[in-house]
Amino acid sequence: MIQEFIMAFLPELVLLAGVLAVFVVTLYNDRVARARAVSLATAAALVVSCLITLRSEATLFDGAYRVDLFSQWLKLAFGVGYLAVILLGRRVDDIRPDIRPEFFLFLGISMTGFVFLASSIDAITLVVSLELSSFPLFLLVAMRREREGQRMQMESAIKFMMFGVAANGVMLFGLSYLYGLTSTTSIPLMVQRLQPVIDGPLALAGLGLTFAGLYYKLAVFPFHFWTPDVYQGASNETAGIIASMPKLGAVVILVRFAAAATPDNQLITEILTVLAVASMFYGNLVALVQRDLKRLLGFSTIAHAGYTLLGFVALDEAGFSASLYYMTGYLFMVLACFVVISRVSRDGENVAIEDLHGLHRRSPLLALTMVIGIFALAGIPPFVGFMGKFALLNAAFARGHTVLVILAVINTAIAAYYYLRVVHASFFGDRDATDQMPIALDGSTRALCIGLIAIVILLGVTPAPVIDAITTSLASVVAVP
Amino acid sequence: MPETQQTDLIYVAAFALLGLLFAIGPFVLVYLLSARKTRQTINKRDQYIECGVDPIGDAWIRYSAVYYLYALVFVAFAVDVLYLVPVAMVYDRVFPVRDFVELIIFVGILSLVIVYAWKKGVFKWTRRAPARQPSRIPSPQPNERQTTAA
Amino acid sequence: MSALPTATLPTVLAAASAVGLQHYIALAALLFAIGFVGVLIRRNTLVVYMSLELMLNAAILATVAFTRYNGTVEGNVFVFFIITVAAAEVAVGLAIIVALFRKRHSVDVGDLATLNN
Repeated sequence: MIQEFIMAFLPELVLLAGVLAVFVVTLYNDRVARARAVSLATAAALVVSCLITLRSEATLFDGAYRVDLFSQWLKLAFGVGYLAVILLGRRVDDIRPDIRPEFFLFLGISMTGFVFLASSIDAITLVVSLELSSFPLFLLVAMRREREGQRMQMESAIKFMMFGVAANGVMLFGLSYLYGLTSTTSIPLMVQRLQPVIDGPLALAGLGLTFAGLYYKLAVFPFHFWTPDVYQGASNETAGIIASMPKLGAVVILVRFAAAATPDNQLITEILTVLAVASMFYGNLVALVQRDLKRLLGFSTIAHAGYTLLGFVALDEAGFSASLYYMTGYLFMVLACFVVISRVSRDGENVAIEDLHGLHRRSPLLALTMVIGIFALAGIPPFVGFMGKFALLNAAFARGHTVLVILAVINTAIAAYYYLRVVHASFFGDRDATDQMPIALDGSTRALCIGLIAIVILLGVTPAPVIDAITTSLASVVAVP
Repeated sequence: MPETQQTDLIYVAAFALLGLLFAIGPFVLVYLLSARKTRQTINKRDQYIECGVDPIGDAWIRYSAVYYLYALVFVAFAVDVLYLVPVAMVYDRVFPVRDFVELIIFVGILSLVIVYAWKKGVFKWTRRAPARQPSRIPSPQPNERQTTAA
Repeated sequence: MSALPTATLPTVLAAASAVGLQHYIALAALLFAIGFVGVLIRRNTLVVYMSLELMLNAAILATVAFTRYNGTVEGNVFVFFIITVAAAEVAVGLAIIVALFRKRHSVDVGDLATLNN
């Protein structure tokens, strides 16, 4: 019995042990390199253990935690993301010097939250893992070093935290309503018992409030306002983390809850449509005028959250798996962009679009990574962004949301404008040779760039098996027991 | 009105009265017992606490940030100890060994907070800046503050 | 000695049961609304934080009321965890607010405006 438990719970155990080891390292001062090495080993072990346990199935902790194909491939995605973020962090120069090892500790704790999130099928485990994943991120933002011309990190942290806690409160209040209606905290049971009463005011209020809390994490339009400020104020590595992991986590929970509504639920579809359209237009239009690259990505995140909602408008398996596929791809595209940002930046400063001028001469590999990341975000074939958008549009179109699909396509065109500005800057822009020093890349950065490019292309050229796999694994989540 | 309800109401009234007495009583006692005639009150009229050592300033000063660290370390335990109550309810019913081991793990992880705080020197009391000269008279201006927290 | 509590307890409970689920839900909704409005309009970060706690307490109250009404215990466990989450939130939040105060010597939301477009 204990053996089965370990087989199912291996990734979590590995991660917990690794985080404890990092904790021990942080007890001593000036151990950044060691903290990073331990984290790197943990992340690698996590990826391997996820691969080992990919096929295991179990329900642990009295039905609060389910290990199945769905949860395991998500953990795998998180694990690869973790690995990428550590490599991206290098020696985290932009974190206050005395607390640099703690960067890796908090990163590890946050990752624990995400990994637990993938398997949580009970409101209690869900809330705990959600908070576990988000609190360390608040602290990571505040840990950026303070210096001349860089004083906004505390402000970002306060905004991030205040809105984050408010969103938590809203979500918990919504969950309490859902619990009151269904008298269970188990999400599959909750979803099942909600179906007869879904049009009642209490159910709508509960679902609406719960979703509002999750939309905050995803940065959907009316809950988006923290995104650009936090991206700008956080150090480059931290912004990379915040831009990637929480989005996938939020989509996972949304999928678990969205199964409560059937596709022909008019009201929910309409609300989601409005939110999707508003976020796409808002994000893309404001991104047009941004100069700071991280702010630009912040607004583009809002637009991407809008695209993701297309899958939820469809409210069927095809839509959900398209959303998950898109977000998994998004994780890697956005990480690719942040690798470039953190390497181009001088001494950890924020990067403006002009700073990319002449990048192809300073470092061809970085320029290539940037272009592929941006093309993927813009939705240009053959990268994962294109196939993801295509799947999303397909799912929405199959359900007859033609207007929405047209609006989404228009938005893709708007977005192409500012994405191409970035590409133009890194490949064609030339500036007088004030800062044209070539950027030296160490081996791990090269490996990271190549790895991310490979993932973005691989996911993009072989969408069918991936989406099929997601759909199969979704069966256990969406199918009402 | 039935008999039982009447007695209940009497109980409620009695409780209310007792509660009131408990609150007002000390004031009355102080009034009756205090030595109003012989007490030395010169220069002490404005003090909040009139016995013992003379206060060295306003209570509305800015406290050193170290206090907040203590408060944070305390919070880590104050709430998490909550979980020991349900464990105590079912302890030793089915799996005595497992219960014990799980408790040890839980409390062990909790006490890592202490280990960390200890190692980082939170419990070493160091004043960042010298304290202000103690003043004999309580300062009336709230703006005048100590700078230890800076 | 023991006659006093045993005689009153059932009747007190009976009186309390006249306060039904809807009263608790209304109170919870009110608390939540007060907290939410406080978050939106208050300027002092600490007061905003208190408002946030009010929102969490509203969730706790609603859950406890529902638990009692439904007759299951899962809700009480949920409340335990909400309380813990709230405490963790306080720790993280206060730490960041104290750090902010050390840097800026202010905890007013209005002073946090360097990041606006």
